[in-house]
Parts: sequence; C-alpha cells; structure tokens
Amino acid sequence: MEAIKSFNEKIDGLKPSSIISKSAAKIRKRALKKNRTKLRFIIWSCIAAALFVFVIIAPAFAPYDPYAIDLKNTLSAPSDIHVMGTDYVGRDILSRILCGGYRSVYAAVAVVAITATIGTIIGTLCGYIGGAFDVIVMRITDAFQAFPSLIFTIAVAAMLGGGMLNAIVAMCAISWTSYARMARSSVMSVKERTYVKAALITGSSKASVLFKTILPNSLGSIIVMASMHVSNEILAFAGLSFLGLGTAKPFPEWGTMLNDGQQTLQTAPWTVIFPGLAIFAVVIIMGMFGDSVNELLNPDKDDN
Amino acid sequence: MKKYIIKRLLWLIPIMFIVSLIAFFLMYLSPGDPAAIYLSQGGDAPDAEALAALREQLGLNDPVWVQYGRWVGNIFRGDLGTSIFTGNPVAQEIANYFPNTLKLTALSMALTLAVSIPLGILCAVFENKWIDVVLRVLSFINGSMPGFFIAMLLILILGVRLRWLPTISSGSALGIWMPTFTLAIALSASYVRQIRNAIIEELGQDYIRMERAKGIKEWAVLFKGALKCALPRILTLAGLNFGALLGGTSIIEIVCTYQGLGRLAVNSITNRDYPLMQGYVLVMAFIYVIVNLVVDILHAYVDPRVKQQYMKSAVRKKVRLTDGSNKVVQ
Amino acid sequence: MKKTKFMKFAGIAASAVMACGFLAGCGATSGTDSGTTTAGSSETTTAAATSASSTSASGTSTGSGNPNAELYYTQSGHTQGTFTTDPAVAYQGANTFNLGITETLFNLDLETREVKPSLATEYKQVDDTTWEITIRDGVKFSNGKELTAEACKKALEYTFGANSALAIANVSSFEANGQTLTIKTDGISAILPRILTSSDCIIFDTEASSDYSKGLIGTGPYILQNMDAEGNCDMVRNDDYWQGTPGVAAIHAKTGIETAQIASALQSGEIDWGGVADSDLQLFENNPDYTVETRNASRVYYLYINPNYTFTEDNAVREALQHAFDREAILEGVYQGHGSVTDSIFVPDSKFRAEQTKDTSYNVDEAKKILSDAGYTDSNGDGIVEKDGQAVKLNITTYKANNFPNLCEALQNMLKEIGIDSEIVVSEQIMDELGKGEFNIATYGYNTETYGDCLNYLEPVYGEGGNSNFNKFNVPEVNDLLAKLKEETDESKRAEYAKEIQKYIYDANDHIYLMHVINSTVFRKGINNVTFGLGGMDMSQLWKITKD
Repeated sequence: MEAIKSFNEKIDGLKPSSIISKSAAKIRKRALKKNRTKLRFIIWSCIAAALFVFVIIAPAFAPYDPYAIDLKNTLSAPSDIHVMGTDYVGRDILSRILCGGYRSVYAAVAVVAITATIGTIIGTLCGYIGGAFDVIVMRITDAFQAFPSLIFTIAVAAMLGGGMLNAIVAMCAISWTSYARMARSSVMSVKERTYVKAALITGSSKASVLFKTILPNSLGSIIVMASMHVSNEILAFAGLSFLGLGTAKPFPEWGTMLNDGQQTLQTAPWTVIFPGLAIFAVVIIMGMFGDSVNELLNPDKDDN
Repeated sequence: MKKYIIKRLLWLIPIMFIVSLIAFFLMYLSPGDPAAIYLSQGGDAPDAEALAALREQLGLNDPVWVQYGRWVGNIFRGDLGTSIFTGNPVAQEIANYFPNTLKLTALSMALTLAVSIPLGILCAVFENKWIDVVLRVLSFINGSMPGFFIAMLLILILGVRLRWLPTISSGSALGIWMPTFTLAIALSASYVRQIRNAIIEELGQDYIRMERAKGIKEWAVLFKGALKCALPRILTLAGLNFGALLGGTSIIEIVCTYQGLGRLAVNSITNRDYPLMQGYVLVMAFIYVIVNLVVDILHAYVDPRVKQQYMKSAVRKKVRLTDGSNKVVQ
Repeated sequence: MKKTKFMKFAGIAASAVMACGFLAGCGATSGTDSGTTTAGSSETTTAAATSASSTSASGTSTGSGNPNAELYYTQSGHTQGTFTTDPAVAYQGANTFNLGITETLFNLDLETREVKPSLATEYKQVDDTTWEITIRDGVKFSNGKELTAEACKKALEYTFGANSALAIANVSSFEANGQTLTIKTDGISAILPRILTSSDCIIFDTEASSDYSKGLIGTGPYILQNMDAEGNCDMVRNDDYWQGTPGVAAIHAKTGIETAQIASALQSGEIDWGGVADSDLQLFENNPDYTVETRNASRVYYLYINPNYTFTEDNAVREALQHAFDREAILEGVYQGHGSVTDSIFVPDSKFRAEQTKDTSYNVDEAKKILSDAGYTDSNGDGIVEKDGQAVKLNITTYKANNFPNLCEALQNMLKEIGIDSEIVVSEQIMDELGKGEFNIATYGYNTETYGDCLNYLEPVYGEGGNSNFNKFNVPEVNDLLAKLKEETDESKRAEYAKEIQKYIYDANDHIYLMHVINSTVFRKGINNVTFGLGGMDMSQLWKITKD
C-alpha cells in the first residue's frame, strides 16, 4: 500500500546517501511544501477539534427545546421566530440540528475508533504471529470483505433492531477489515527491518518489541486511514438513518432528520436542506482534515 | 502465473466456507420466526397447527447444524432454497434481478469513466491552474454528499422539473438512466481525483522526461505516454470497484425504484425472507471474489511493469481501492 | 386489506422507502381499494339486486376521450412483499380487480352501500344456509370462453378454499347448474352477498393456466399482456367487454411506489392519477393541471390501550389517557387536516354508529386530576408522575404506515403534558409484535365497514380471540352479540346489535378513537368519467375512464 511504501521511503530517506543525491533546490522545495502541509494540518485539525467541541456545547445555543412539539406550527417556513423553519411536528429545526450534531459526529468517530482499534489489534497479531493463525484470520477477513457492505450492515442492524448503538455495532461489524489488513501488512514490512531484528537479537522481549517498535511504526498509516474514514462513516451513518436504522425517535440526529424530511422535500424543502447542509459541512471538514493528515504523513502523495 | 491463479482459486474455498457460515448465522440469529411471518402475510394471526406444520416443512425445528448442512448441501446442487415470500426458487429470483443490477453497474461505470477520464486529464494537464482547482473543489463537494441526496435532487430536477426522465425507474424504458446518472455523479467524484493523480504521477516519471527531451509533441507525450501507462491502473480501479458496486447500489435502487438486486435484498431483509437473503449474500460475495480475482489477473497481464510487485501486494492494494467505493452506496 | 399492509412495510430497512411504497399502497388502499369493498349495507334477504346499472354491451359509449390513449397509474392495495395475482392470498384479489382484469359477481354501490349486480344479475336466499345466484348470460372471459356457473364455481371454490380473509363467510359448498350458482353455508351467513362484492371473490378462468400468481384470465375490460415480478403490469383493451367499449387502448400500472414518489411521478407526467401524501396535496390543489378528489372513508385511526400490561393495568391511568390527546391538533399537525376527528368508531352518516358514551374531551387538567387522585404524583419534580416510587413510562407501539410514527411523536408529547413518560417502538411486523401483548398503547388503522358492513371490523377487533384483538378485549355480552350479528340478515337489527356492542366497548377504557380518514386522489387534467363513492375511486367503473 502506498502509505506503507512512502513510510518506508521516509525511513530510507534518513540515510545520508539519499539526501546527498537530491539537489539543494529540491530539498528547499520539499521543505517549503512540508511547511505548507504542516500548516494545513494544523489549521484543519484546529477546525476539526473546534467542531468536536462545538457539537458538544451546541445544545446550549439552541433557541428552543428540540423535543418541543407544536402541532399548530408544523412545517412552517424559515422566519424570524424559527430561523430554519419547523419540521413535521412543529419542532424547531435549528434547535434540533444544534442538539443532534454530537450524535452524528460521535457515532462516526466511535465507529472509526472501534474499528481502527479492533482492526489494528487483529492485524498486528496476524502480522506478528503469522503462521496458521494469520492464515485463518486473514481468510475470515477476506470473507467479511467479500460481503456487500451496505447489505451486511443493514442485515446486522435489522437483526439487532434500530437505534444508534445498534447502528454503530452494525457498521463496526464490517468495517474493521480494512484496518486489519493495513495493520498486518504494515507490521509484516516493519518486522523485516534491521532495527527490529536488531532489537530482538539484543534480547528485548517479543512483547516489548511489538509495542515499542513495531506498533508505533505501523500506527502512521492507521491514523491516516482512520482520519480519512471519519467522513465516510458520517455518510454511511446518514445512509443507515435514511433507511430508518439510525437513531430512535424522537432524538434529533441529522441523518434521521434527512430521512424524515424527504417526505416533504418539495413542500417544505428546509426540512431537508438544513440537516443536509450540516452533514455536508461536517463531511467536508472531516474530509479536509483527513486529507491534511494524509499529506502530512504521506508527503509523496497528493491525495487519494 | 498459472501457479498464482491456481493458488488464488484454492483460496476461494475457505473464503466461501466462511462467507457461507456468516451468511447463514446472520440470518439464523435474526429475530422473527419465518414461518410465522409467512403465515401472517394475509393479515391473520397464524394458527398454532399450521405454524407447527410449516416449521416442520421448512425444517426450522432441526438442529442448527443440520439446517446449515442442508443449506450448503443444496447449494452444491445448485439449489439456493425457495423464497418464503414469492415461493420461487431463490436462484431464479436472483437471476431475474441480477441482469438489471449488472446493467446499471456497467452503465454507471462506463459513464463514470467517460466523464472522469477527460476531466482527470484536464486537471492533470492544468495542474494547480484554476480549472484543476475548480474541478477538484466540485468533485470534493460532490463526494461529500450522500448518494441518496444526489438521487433525490436528480429526481426533482430531471424528473419533476424538466420531465426528461421518469421518476420511477421500475417498468419504464428510460428508467435506468436516473439511477445511472446518480451513481455516475457520485462515483466520478473520486475518479476524477484518482485519474488526475495517476496521470500527474506518470507525467513525473523519467520516461516522460526522456520523451519530452526527444522533442515529442506534448499531446503525444500525454496520450501515448502517460495516459497509456496510467490507463491500466485506472481500469483496475474500475474493475475492483465494479465488484463492490454490484453489491452496493441498494439505496440508489430504492430511491429511484429501480428493479435491481440491491433493492430486492433490502426488501428480503425487511420481509425476513431468510433463504433469499442468504442466497443473495452468498452469490454477491462469490461474484465479488471472482471479479477481484479476474481483475487482479488481468491487471498483471496488462501491465507487466507492475506484474512482479503486484502479484505480492495485489490483495493489499485491493483494500484501499475498494474502500473508496463505500461512499458511493450511501 | 387493512392490517396486511401494516406488517408488510414496517420494513425496517426498506422502511423509509420500501415501506412507504407500501404505504402508498396502503393509503390508497383506503382509497381505491377499500373503495371497492367498503361501504354501506342494506339489501334485503331476497332478490334485491336486479340489473340496475348498465347492462350488457349495447355499445354504451364511454363519451369523449381519445380511444387510442393509454392510462398510467400506480397500483394500490398491493399489501404483500411481492406482487401476486393469486386470489388465494388474502386481499390480493384486488390486484387484478383494480387493473380491470377480473370482476366480481356483485359490486358495492359506493354511494348507497348497496349490493348491485355485476357478473351475476341477482341473488336469492333460498333458506337459512342456501343462496342462489344467477350468472349473467353472454359474458365471456377474455380468452373467448363463456362465463358459466360452473366456471364461477371453480374460481370461488379455489379462492374460498385458501383465502383466510373469506373464512368469515362460512361457505361449505358450491353447486353449478347452467347459469345458476348455489352456495351453501355452515350456519347462517347473513352477509354473503356483501362478501361476494369483495375483490377477494374475483371470477377468473381456472383452466387457462396453472399458475395463478403470474396473471389471470378474467372477464374485465382490460386484458393482462405483460407483468413483471414486482407487479408492473401492461393491459390492453378487451374489445369484447360485456358492458361496452373500454375507454382507453391500454393501461400501464406500477406497483409498490412510495407515497412521496407518487407526487413526483404525477408532476413528471408519468402517471395519470395516484393517492399522494397529505403534505404533498398542496402541490396539486389550486393547480390547473390537476384535480384533487377527496372522499370520506370509513377508515378509523384508533389506539389500543392495553389493560393487561404494566401501568395501563390501572384503570385510572387508562381513564386519564382518555383526556390526554388533542385530536384537533393531531389532525391539523400530523395529517394537515385531511380527516375528521372522532371519538366513536363509525363515521357520522353510518347506520352502525353509536355515539361515544363517555366524556373523552381533551382536558389536561382533568387527566392530571385523575392521576393525582389515584396516587400518581410528581414527587421528585422531574415532570413525570410516580406511584410507589416508580415513574410512569408507557410503551407506544406503532408501524410505518398512515404517518403513525409522526402521530406517535405527537402522542408522546401530549403524554408528557400530563406527566407521563413514554417510548415509541416502531415494529416491522406489527401484528406479531402486538400479538405478544407487551405494549401500553398501540396505534392502528382499520376500515370499519368493509363490504358495507360492520362485522368485518367488530369481530376481529373486539371478539374474544379475534385476530386484531391485541389488548384481549373480552366482554361476554359483546361475544354473544357478535354471534348474533353473524346470523342476522335484517339490516336494521344488525345496526341495533352493532350499536349495543359499541356501548360495551365505550364503557371500557380500552380504546381511544382519534379520527376518520379522508382519502384524496390526484388526477391529471384530461382524465374523465371517473366514478367516486364514499370510500374513494370506484375501480369497478374503471372501464369507463377516458383520457384526452
């Protein structure tokens, strides 16, 4: 995988010979680019961090109770009273968006965190232990990967019943595989490196080599993948919600709001537009963040 | 090469075994008694006697391993079971719907490539110029929208406002185009970027510099050199995506009311039509594995440059390439 | 047709979409489909129906319209996971009936709710358990075969033998002799002619094919040419139709379409008519390109209150609930005013209607008072009342049809007003779910006058062991009255029994009636000669419809 390749190149790049072979101009250019990349990363991680904080404190800014139904004012258009209009039972859409954000965002983050952790553990063990264990676990991974992922997720979510927690479990059930593969191949390549072999020869315990040397080295690519996955998972969660498998009513959540709104797309477009914009904004922020992480850790690749 | 193919084929056996286990137990553990569901179709509560009889007939009273064994045994005889809801053989149901999804997938993929390759080239040629930036921003925006949202907008614009295409795809000659456009738009977001990067990468290679140095015209360098070398990579990506896309069009099919396998599968989950669901998952997983195998082999043939390296890392590469396709289906 | 749909959709996954598709079917069920089977009553036991309506051919011209026009519409009443034309599956006879492929022996006049002739010209009750039906002369199946009593017998024997919805008729045997069909029943089957108007009792040529699920040969104005697995059907005109020349050259019907999509399909010009979601109606009202037809339906949305489960075991809680719900606000907010509020079962002009006997007015203070008198107080100040240290939390079970999930959110909010907490459970298999009895409140929709009679509602919902008696309502007097209702042929006495039954129902606090439905159908301009009745569009008059 490119990520690993470039990672190796980075290590190789530390060898004096490779530096000498490069022209001074190139180094300058590279340094400049690196600075820009760093700056981008810092900006986007600040924005992402701000987003994470904002979705938590946002409910405090909600002008109305997000659960307060007003049957006399259903589907009313945006106005001074309701800035983003009201939904099918007269709830204030702005308040629901503000109060629902953390569900959408943290559900995706939770999925990524869980799958990245589980996948990394499985993959690392496979790569490290090798042998029959590796073969069996990797075939299981192959099998999971062969499933149509959406159908698999729906089936698991349907099996467990609706609700946010179940939706998260369902999404985790299928998406851990890519991390497992990534971690495995990463560990495999690092394992062969001289410094790891050297560590083993000098008598460090296998476990300490694994945790102190191998794992930190493969983490880079995992982090890139994870940061790039967050926006995917937000979209995936929206898809599940669209099928009615997301958050249980009446909790506000963006995907569910979109799902509710599609019935009134024509007559009350604000029920779709605002939650849609919210998802869109978050996906863009997380997407840019992921890209910047990727660029930082994979300087040779533009983006993917 | 032959050895490689045989090895890959042999690996299919354990993979499919595990796939079948997961498929079977996923459905087996799902709540709801299929016999009761079947009997209450008419709206009446099933009476105990009929229920017991049907459970017996469907073999639902047997131990789980017997049920699994029977299911697998039947599969080897080409019998995927009988759909609880339609009473038709599952194989026949899937065969009925599969051509539609295949058509949709192939058409979307073709359209995607037809749009993304020129745009990707454009971006690459004008790297970091305004046209590149605009197209990249557009594709980024596009990629940040859920697929169903794009479908809803297209239905509103192309169907309701312009009246160019039917809003309900099912049972309509032009019906395939609405979901095709949706998928193509959603897919091309990442394709434009990937193609752009692939070509930029090629343009930076030594052989291109050589050609330029030789004074070969820029367009020839681009098309005969860079594109020719980047194309196998692009087609590999498309091929691998193809396998994933076949099983990933559900939501679009639903929104556009297109009669495809994905919609059938979602319905079968809703209806708790276990045999159909299991059959679908099994068949799609099989197709996915085969498509990947074929693409891997073809890729190795087409691009001897990567043959050596690719044979080793084929499996790994797949992960990343297919990851992008997840986005499409939402 | 009522309940089937419920289960169907509920489709979790398909939920949003598929489910809604059904809804569409459903919503429309109450429209077109219940139209065909619903409605009044009041024929006498003997030969009431004679050929009043347009008798055979005689070239009844269908008026204006382009004879080469083709009609497009969405098939409704399709309540199954998959589309079948097999009338042995409950409520699916409507599929071919609504497409003009098959017909029934009798039709229900949707205005008067009387039985009127169709393929049969008259019926006679010979004795308590024997009915004699005269089949019309000169009618042919679309394959040219003559319609005889024998052919009817075979079709009905097949259907009655398997279709669970027809068990209510208690038919024991059919005999055919020339054009006379004799039906014998086990015990008295008072409303048999009404049941024969049901689209479950369609007449088709049983010998034309062996697989009835993929199309039927009927006597109707249109002939099925082509049908795919999902029920998209293409029909062409039956030029030998016995009532005259059908209005258009071909009909194309789509099936299982989501309500929201019906609106877009109408706007894009793909279909000529359809039942749209309440919230979409404004797109078509006051729009010169469309006409909106609205009709009261005898369909009621109501709540089951379960006296056998947790907090609602306490009569005080059930009594408080009677005052907890603001029907007007629900009607306006959730259904955009498309309906009429009610606290009784039957529609106001129904002869079966008995007024609610209790005070069920919306009254938050009254509800709160009832609760506090019974010892439910908010001791910890969280807005939720407790008794014996336990906070009251009710389970509201619903399904994805009729806008019920939204209704439940409104109910939940109103419960909060009186200090009751609640959770909403949206079930995909609603009948299974409710059958378990683990709910406090359940929403439901039911056609109260299927076949133009009350029995098909009262028996399953309030009779002991009835298949929709989810809260185990069991009053011996009601059971006795239902038994009488089954046998009574005198219409006015039937109404008496029905009213008496309602008194017992109202005395208990086990049901809350919210509203009667108004069905709306949107037509594109240029569709003419559509017949409407109380339930909605009269699909038995499909053959008259023309298109410019």
